[in-house]
Amino acid sequence: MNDATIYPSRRSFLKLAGITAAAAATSSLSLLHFNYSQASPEGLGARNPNKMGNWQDLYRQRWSWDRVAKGTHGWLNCRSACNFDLYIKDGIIVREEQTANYEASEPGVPDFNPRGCQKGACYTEVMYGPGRLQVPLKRVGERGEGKWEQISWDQAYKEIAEKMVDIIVEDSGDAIVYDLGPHFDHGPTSRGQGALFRMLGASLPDDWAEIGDLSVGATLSLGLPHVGGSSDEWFLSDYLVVWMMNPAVTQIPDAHFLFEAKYNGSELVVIDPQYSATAVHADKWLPIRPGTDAALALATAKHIWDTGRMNLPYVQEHTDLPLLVRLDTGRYLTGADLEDGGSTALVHVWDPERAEPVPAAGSPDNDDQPKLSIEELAPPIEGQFEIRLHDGTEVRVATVGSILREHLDPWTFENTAEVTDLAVEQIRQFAEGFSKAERPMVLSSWGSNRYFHSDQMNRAKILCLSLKGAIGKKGAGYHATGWIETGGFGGSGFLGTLGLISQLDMGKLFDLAIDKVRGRISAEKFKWEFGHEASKELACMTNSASMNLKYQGIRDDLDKEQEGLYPRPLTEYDREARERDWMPVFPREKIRAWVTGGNNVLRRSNLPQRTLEHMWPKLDLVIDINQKLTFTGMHADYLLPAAGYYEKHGIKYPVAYIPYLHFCDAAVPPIAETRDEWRISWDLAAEIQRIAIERDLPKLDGCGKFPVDLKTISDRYSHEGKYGPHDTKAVTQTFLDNSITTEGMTVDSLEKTGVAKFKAAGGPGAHDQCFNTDWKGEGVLDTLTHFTKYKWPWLTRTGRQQFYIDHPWFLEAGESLPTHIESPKAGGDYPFHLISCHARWSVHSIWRDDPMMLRLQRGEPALYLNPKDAERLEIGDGDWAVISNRLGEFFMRIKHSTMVRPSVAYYFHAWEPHQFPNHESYKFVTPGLMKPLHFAGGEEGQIRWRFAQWEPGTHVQDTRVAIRRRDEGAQDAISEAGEV
Amino acid sequence: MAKRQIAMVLDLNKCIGCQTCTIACKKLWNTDTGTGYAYWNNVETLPGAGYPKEWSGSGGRTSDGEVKRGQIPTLDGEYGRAWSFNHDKVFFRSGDGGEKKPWLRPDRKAQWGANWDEDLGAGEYPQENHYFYLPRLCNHCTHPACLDACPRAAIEKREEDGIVLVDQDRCNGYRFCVEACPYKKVYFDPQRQVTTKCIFCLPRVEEGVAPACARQCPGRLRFVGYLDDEEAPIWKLVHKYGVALPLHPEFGLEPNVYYVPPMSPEKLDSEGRPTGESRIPMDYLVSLFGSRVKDAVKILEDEREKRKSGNPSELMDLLIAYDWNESFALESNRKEVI
Repeated sequence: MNDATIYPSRRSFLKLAGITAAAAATSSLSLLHFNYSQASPEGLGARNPNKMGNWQDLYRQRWSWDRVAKGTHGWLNCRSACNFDLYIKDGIIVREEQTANYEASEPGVPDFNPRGCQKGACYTEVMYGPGRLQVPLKRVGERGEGKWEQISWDQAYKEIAEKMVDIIVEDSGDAIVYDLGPHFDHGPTSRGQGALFRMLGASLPDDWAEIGDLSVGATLSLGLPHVGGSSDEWFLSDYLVVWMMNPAVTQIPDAHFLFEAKYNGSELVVIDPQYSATAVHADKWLPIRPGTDAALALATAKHIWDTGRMNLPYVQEHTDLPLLVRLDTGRYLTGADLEDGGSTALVHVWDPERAEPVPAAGSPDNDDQPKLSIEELAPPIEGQFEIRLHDGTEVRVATVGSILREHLDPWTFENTAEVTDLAVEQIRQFAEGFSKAERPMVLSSWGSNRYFHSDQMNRAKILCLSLKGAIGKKGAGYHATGWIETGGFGGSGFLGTLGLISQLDMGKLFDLAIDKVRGRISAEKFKWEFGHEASKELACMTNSASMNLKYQGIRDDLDKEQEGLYPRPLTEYDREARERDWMPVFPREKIRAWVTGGNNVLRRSNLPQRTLEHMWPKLDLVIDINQKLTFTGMHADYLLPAAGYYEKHGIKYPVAYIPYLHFCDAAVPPIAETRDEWRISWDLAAEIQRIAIERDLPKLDGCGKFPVDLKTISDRYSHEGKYGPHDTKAVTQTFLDNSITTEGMTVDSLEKTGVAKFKAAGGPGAHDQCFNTDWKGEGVLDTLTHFTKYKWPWLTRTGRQQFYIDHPWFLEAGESLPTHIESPKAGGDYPFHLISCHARWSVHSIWRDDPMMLRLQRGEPALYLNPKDAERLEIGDGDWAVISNRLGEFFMRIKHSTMVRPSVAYYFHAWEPHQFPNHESYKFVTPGLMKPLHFAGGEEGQIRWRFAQWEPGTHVQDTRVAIRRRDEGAQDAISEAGEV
Repeated sequence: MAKRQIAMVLDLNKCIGCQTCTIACKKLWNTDTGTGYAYWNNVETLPGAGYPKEWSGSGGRTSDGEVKRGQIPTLDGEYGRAWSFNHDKVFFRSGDGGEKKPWLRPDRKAQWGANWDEDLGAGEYPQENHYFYLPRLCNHCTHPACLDACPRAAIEKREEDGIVLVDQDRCNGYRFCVEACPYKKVYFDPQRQVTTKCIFCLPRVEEGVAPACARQCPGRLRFVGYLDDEEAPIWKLVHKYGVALPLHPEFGLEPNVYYVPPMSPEKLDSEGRPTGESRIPMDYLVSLFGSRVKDAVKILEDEREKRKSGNPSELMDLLIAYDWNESFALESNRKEVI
């Protein structure tokens, strides 16, 4: 037997054995402060067994390495963050394994170890895999034709910079769209790209809602969409309801807390039409009819009320149930109604002793009582009263509680059973369990926002929790993914250290500062508003939905799809929102260039054929800066190969589930000709500046907000030369130095540990939602105590958790209260409900074409059908099917699964269109409805545009399709074409 | 007989089918040509045909302890080859008259694979549909059939820890072991013409580091240690509480990999009302883990009830695995190789 041919590593090992001793000495790192009690491979230092005594040593050599670096998957839209040891041999990262150096947050709670998932454990397969982009490419054929020529970086920079300068000179900066997209980090990669394109005055679309991730229901109810603490908080709940989430598939490193909570005596309920991988471990699984979750929640809320299990003091103090509403107009009774020149923001409760309305504690403009309180008055939540307004008019007012109580009446268990297709007994058991729980918790993921009426579902779920006083209570409440902000990173985007200072209009912030000084608002609220102003004024932020609606072809489809659903056509709402300046929409004119940093817009868009037909041909320039070749890249003009996750410095975006900062080391240099994005942006800025000076360009227009000075853009990008193209380590350190959450952290120490526990929960960032100023890195991270402990008003129009929305559009549409509304049949009235699930086997499209992952699936996209349905349609397991609706058709193989509800077809998402025949995926029949009410604005509080907080988006879960077997001949033809 | 026996317990109530174990194993040991289809560790959805397809029970021992001849699964049949893909043709089209829009797909018709019937399960929706995940690896049996079947005496069971190994120098690739193993956990490497199998991460265990499948498991469901260590979770779960059971004890090989059997949500009656009965039929669990599974499930349920009513339970504490490090009770015994 020839060992060397079997184990190629042996030969290279023997060659290197002599020179690795030095590496061994330096990489044996002390991790004592993590207090390992269990050996980890990394703790062994370099490992190169230098004996070849017998065949077993072949295996020992396979488990060997020269050095170990720390890494995670930084520039990746994954809500988990996991510390990995990267094992490097001969300059190649041969494999990765979790470091597992997390500690338990507090006694009596399981620790986070080891975190990780199968994707993270084989990112090296993507890094060195067949989909990796390695050299700069320029398109030579038609877009999408797949014909390229290799060019030099210099040529790429020169051509791209000249085209971008031309566009800004001829039009303006906002004619360039930089697709921020869902992939980002909190390190130099995001900052480099973000800073460059912000300074160019490019349009920056906020995709949060467009991709269906924004919890508008939470924004409406709490003023905050991104709510939730650390995942070990799940362990503390006594009644866990996984409601529109599948943590066993989408939150793999955290899922264990659910099942451990069960062992700890908690009840685990999963509400899902699918018998999901999470549901299999539940105590109770409620196989609800898709899209009827609001109905179940309303029945539960009614039951909590009926049984007297409501937490009345909490409801009086924190919710809008005691607030008075005018029955003639449906609007809140405000100061303006009661006093000439009174405040339209000041809301009221009923004082039974004085028998008159009095300003509600914590209401905006209630200077006497800026905080929530029931000490002086515990206002009634039910009651109807006759009052006289200042103009003498007599009107009836009622509490929100009374209106809500009446609204809940129809939701008996029997009626709810009709709607949800659940048995009365199952609903009763659930409502009983929920209402009796001390610490009910609802896990409601980003994925819970993809129905047209998801906002209603989440409003209703939050109502149940609020009635129980569970929001802002440790071990209870609403988990929809909270964020820990790294202020140094966030600040640098608009104000801070990276050459972006000087453009903020301080005058706009003056009033706010006065409010803060007067003690009318909290420091957190001040920072919150400040961040909002900054994002509004200093960047050309736009919402993606409105941007897409600029195109007639896209608009027409949606108007047709949504006909009759609302009092007016969708485009009317859009138009009104623009005219009233409720929604920022850029560019003001046409889009000429589309630049993406690896965010796969043509893969993720709904009806991408419309984008390709209506938007793409009008673009003069399409650039994809990406580690991989994607469907969007296939339709680009230039492909700039980016460094991978282990090839550049970075900070993983920090979600609250795991309250540790995760550092990405540049463990090995970028492979082949790839470059990290900080450097690519640096080089582009330098080239643009060179051209601007050469052409002696004056200051140009971005998007009408601020001038664009291309002659200094490189100087400002580099902070007057402080940060060079290779200074990502220094940039990372700057972010750490300027964040209260990362105080004292150094890159040098993170290179050794990979992670460090955050020192605080939040700074002034745009989506810092933790609102727990007491948390200093100790204990389970619970959230929202800012409101429940310190009694600052909630960030809504009323200062309270708000279930009654009096915005005129909501009143007109009959959606002022949480309501069940049937899912509209998007795409036409067809028998199957087409539902998108996040994938187990990929994080979006990143691992979608990875052979190692594909071999553990079926190698191709599959649509999941219940075996009974498949049998009826005569579609065998693995057969090709034609899936169609009035928007088109596509082909996909069918997979049988008993987890699937009859009349539902599931796909696990993020397949690239080029993984389907004709390069047409399910997205080609998915219209992506836009809820018109989400274009609303004009109100103080939660209903006004904010980055990643309030904006219209698209909803895919209402799509209906027909499914039929592809006929026999076609089955064969398509299979044969598969021989490649 | 080995002096000591190393063992693993897998708690199926925590397995989420993520297959991080599969990848951890694959990346470490089976990336060479010839091992593409080999998964020393795999995860199956049960009920299901598994990997290799319909593996269960071919081979093993007679009631007299004689090794039985079995089937050798075929590469294109019961295993399914590791497909290659056409990335280059999709991304870089030459315009030489080839397919206009080639789409990314396997190089051959995919008919079976290591996770082919993922999430298929059984039973009528929504009354009694059910499935669960079963991670599988070599059981490092006390009476390994593979060992007795090998005419080359190439398979040994190590004295010091009971790990079963195929001597890569002695093996001649006859595949009697593949036939004999009723769990079908020995793989033939057509490239090298030898058989290989799970080595219980021998080099790691020697250093006191748990096997990759166990240490990398984000579900925290695996416990590793020596069966006779009464301080460690393994002994308690297997012997003290009897909740960890071997797979197919009727094969007669005395596996040293044990499973805590899965509980499941309540079945519904034809009207959709909860019945109080588990979805996974007890008969099915008995067919996998033997009749002792009934007691094991009962103990789990009783201890959980205790905990629900606020009482302590050592068993629940063990399964929660508060301190993950304590799931692994190994000692380093080969320092000299560093």
